[in-house]
Amino acid sequence: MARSTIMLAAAGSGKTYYIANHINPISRNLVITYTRQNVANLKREIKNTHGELPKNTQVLTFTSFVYRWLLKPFEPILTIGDRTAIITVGVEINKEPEPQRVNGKPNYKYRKQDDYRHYLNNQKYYSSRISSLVLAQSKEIKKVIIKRLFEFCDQLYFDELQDFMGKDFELLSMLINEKNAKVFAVGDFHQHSVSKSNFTASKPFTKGKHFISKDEYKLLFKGTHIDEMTLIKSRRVPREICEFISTKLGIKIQSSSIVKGHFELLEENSRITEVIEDINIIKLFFRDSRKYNCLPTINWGYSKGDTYNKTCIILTKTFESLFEEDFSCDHLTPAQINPLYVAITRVTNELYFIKEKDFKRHKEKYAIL
Amino acid sequence: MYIEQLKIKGFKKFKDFTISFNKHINVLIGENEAGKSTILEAIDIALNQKIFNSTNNSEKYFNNDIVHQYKTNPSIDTLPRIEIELLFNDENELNSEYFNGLHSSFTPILKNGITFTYKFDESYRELLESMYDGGYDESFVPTDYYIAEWVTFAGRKYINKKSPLKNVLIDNSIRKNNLFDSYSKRIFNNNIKVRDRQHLSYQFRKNIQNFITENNEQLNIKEYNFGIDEDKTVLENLLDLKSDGVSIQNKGKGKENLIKTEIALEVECDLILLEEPENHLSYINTRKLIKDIQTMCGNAQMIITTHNPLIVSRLDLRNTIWISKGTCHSLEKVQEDAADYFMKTDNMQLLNFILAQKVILVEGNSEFILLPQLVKNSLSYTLEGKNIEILSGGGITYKHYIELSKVVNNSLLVITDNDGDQDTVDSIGQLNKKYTNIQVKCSDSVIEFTFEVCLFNKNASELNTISDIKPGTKAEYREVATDKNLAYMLKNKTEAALRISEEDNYKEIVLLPEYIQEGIEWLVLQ
Repeated sequence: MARSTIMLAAAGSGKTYYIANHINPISRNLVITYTRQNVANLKREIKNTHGELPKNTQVLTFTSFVYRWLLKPFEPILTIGDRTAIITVGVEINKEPEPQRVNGKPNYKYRKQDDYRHYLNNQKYYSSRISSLVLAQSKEIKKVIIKRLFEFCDQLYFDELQDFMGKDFELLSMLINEKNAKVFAVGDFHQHSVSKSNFTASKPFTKGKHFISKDEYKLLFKGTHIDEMTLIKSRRVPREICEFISTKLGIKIQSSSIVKGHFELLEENSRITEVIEDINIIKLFFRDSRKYNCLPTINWGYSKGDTYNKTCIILTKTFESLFEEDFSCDHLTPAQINPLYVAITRVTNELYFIKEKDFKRHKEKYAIL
Repeated sequence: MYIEQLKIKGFKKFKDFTISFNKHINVLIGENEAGKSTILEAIDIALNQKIFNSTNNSEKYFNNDIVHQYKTNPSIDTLPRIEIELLFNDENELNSEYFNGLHSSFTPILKNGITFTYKFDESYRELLESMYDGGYDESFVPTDYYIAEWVTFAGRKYINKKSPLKNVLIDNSIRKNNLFDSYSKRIFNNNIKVRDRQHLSYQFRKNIQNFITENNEQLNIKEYNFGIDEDKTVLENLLDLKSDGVSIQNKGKGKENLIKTEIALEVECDLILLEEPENHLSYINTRKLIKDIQTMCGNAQMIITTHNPLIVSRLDLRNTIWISKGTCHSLEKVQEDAADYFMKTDNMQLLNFILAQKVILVEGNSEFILLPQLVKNSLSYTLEGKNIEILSGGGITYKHYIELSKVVNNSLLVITDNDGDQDTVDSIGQLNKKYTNIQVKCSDSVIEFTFEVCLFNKNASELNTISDIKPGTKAEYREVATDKNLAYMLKNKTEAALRISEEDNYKEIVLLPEYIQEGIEWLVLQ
């Protein structure tokens, strides 16, 4: 059990770099992450560290991992709903399965788990249900699947741990708790519920109607070594900005950056225009950044994993009072706080804020109709 | 990685065939048309995606029996198909995972391998059914609606770029002049690093371009100008392997073979497929070749087809796999000292021995010369007519042949002498009770210590003047008084045998001694 490690890291603390350096090029490693973008990032970093991608190291998306390693090789003995031994032709990426409910009402097109069509569309797996399909296998089959995994692989890396939710999280937990498994999972707890696509937060980050705390999250990995110290300092975010985050958002983050850093709230019209029109400053909107022509722009959620020299954040109403003495986020949920945390922690040097109401005065000028 | 097993279904000779391989050297033997080359071809298809990657007439590759079955009962469900399964050894490198899974005939055991199938493409089922209104009754195979698929045991699509075995196939049995699959090209691709190949290819194309640019004027006709056909100027397709400035194709077949094989052995390969390497080679060159194979193949797996007994014996009899009637038999269980014996003595009859179903092994030249004729005289049939092979073992070696027969399971009759020793007679009696496929025959009487004595006793009156040709013959043998004619036969064994087999007064009259006749009658019944 003690072979696995969970590492909780701060934003910009060099998770990718750390994984690349942690890899032993002699052993057999699988590096798994959520997005293709991140697969590319990891590959680049590993190549930087080791000269080339080591012969026995593969970097792949979570979907590819589940499909290639946990499902495909076993198809002749898998049970898929009410069928067995279906030979599929891949993963469906363009179509989502019918949900159980639509607008709160039961969906008659929904297929239950005892129907193979719950998992498959024309001989292809719905990517959102592959984890649940692995978990639905019998104990014996799961044993075979896991045995094979660790027969070919010494060390499993999971990047962006906080993105594992629902059945994906359950599957990850199953692997971490495996006796012979050597899993290394790293993520930033405070970046959970910040996604590039729209979704409503779910397990394990909620408990009933409430979000869980970091300590409660840690309890989910009971029995596994949890490292909170190694990647506690942000290499990216300057000290002053880290302090600002800690005070205002209540998220503890330290800095190891040598840059002094600068942040300010812009309220004067001339200053606002100057910054917005500066092409060296990336403008971070809560949403719909593509509707503005003051390039470069990006949504808060989409900026995850990115690093920028200078940024300007357009504050939503929720955070209008951020700079006031008595600002507190006690009444806010992580689903509201975390996206701003992500947005703020992108910067290495200069950070500007503009309140939405101040930006509105200029909106017409920059909006694409 | 190496090939552990090959399964062929419905391909050419093989309706349902399985063969296992050693990690190192494998020598395939068998009669012509037994399917030795088909085995190499099947490996080439599964591993290198040969033949079926282009659409041509593939009907000839189906197994005749299966096509016949289909034609007597034509339906979409009985359409012939080809399946080739290549099993690798268990290996757990991360990248071997691509080959590991349950998509194989070995389910539920996880194995590494590739499956090739050539079958009716189910997506055309509706089309075909509607074409025939459900009453499908074709008597030919609609290969136009067939699909060739390569899938790893992990269920993933296999492409030969991901081949786990760097391999080379050397076919010395025929001259292959296929421009796009030439031998030189394979050697080039296997032997020169990707980066160097890219560089060479780039330089080559650049120089061709320079040539065009420099000669632009001459290459112009009115408003047209000549360029170079890019499809024809791919460097690797133009390469020709040379030795001392002479293309190896022009060095004589024997030399060509030797060079081809030697180069293949030098290339770092995981798998070497050698088709009849002995072709066009003299005895000495064959021996040289064998030595090269032994010393140069390193850790590569080799699969060799051959008709040459030297290759079989010198590469260790136990590496031999005998292909016959759509099945295969490994000789790995032959005892070590027997294998050693054959390895040390260049036994030219070894292959005949293995391939024959019924064999008579005789002690010396006299029996070898006389037996065919005497059988005809005594039994009114011929050994040839009964498909019996007669081999001369020479002395005590029949024990090694018995070891071999135990494994090969052919019917073996050994004709031997009792050397006047009762113990020999007794022990032979014991031996004959042990095996159903092996009989050793000698005279039961110790007085008849050797073949000539038995022959003379059986035919005393017919042979009573045979010594006349040598009037000086003394009526004694090894200082024991002996009939003059018998003494002549004992002292001039080969001469006497030749005379009996040729001269009219003996040729069709002399009969088989009893023990030999008994033996042959047993053998014929097997």
